[in-house]
Amino acid sequence: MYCARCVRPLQPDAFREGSFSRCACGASVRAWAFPAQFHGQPIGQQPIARAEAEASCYFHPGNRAEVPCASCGRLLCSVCDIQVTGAHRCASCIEGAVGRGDVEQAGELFMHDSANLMLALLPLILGVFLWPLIPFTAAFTLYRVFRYFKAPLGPVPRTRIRHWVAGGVALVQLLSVALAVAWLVTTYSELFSHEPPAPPAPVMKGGS
Amino acid sequence: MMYLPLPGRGASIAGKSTLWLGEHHLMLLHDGWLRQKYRRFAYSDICGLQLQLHRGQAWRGGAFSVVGLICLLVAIVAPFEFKVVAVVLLALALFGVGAELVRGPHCRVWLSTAVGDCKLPSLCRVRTAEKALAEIIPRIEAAQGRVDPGQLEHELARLSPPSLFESAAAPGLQGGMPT
Repeated sequence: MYCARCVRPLQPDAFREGSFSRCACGASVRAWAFPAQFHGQPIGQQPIARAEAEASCYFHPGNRAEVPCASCGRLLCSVCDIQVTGAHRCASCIEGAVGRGDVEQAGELFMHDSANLMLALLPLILGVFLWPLIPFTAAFTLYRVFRYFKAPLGPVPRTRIRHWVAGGVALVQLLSVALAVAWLVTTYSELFSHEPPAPPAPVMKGGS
Repeated sequence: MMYLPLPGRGASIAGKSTLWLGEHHLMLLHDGWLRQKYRRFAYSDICGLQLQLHRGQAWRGGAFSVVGLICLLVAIVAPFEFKVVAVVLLALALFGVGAELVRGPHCRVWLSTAVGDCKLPSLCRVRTAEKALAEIIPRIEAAQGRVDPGQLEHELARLSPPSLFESAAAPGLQGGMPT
């Protein structure tokens, strides 16, 4: 093993339990080595050529099948076999799983709840510049909350509180806009709808 | 699949990083503003772990102390209106110094596999890193077994470059050495 800072080989002292060793670069290092450090690299291991009566790999007919894919059941040679969470799978199944948003195998996930919360709060944070957009962002946030409420939240525990908060903020924004518009309409309608004062009633003089 | 959280959280402007224990692998999660990224390391593939003390962040405690001292001087000398502000800043600086002392020294942790090294940003304090490594190492050893100390020393000796004395004493040069 090498020092991560200067890439010099580590001293044996660094592997002693509970002690730091000083590398030549001055770094205080403590390290742990495991048997995989000394094994041959499994990547690209040589496949075994198929004999006459043996099963062949689905993707490489010349190679001997080693294991079936846990998802699709195709037989795989050692080149095609990918172990994910203890199961053997082929590359096409993993690609399909990631495309479907299978959170167990995904390498990256778009978080719709965070996006909704940001969409709801951004006009408030940048209110001076974006306040005319509030009705549109609030409506779009509500649409997104309903659309993506059940979208996967990732492999680790995470609540839907961001969806709820985003929806609540968007509703308050829409109600505020509606109330503001109603107040403006009533105020201005009162201002501009003044009827001219009624002419004085004619005085009847005399009479019979 | 159930993941168990490990202590430590590496926060930055780009998001936060956390480590999670799975049944067969360790997962490094980077939680960005809009995306989560996952890196999984099977326990059977982890070659080594390395913890280095990192003194680059030690300036924080010093900076808090300097700010605290300045605020203390201002609080003593300045008129009452400034004293209030200085006392509040002094309290904040003391809180910063205390937090630095309680959380302990900084460190960096790397995880090695056959294809490269990966820094674990969530393990940035020695105490947190030790707690997390105490959870990780038994799982790696359960998957791989323990390394033989003799083999480790042999491999390290093989990796070490020959010292100047050894190269001078090499058979090809022995005849030319002055006596």
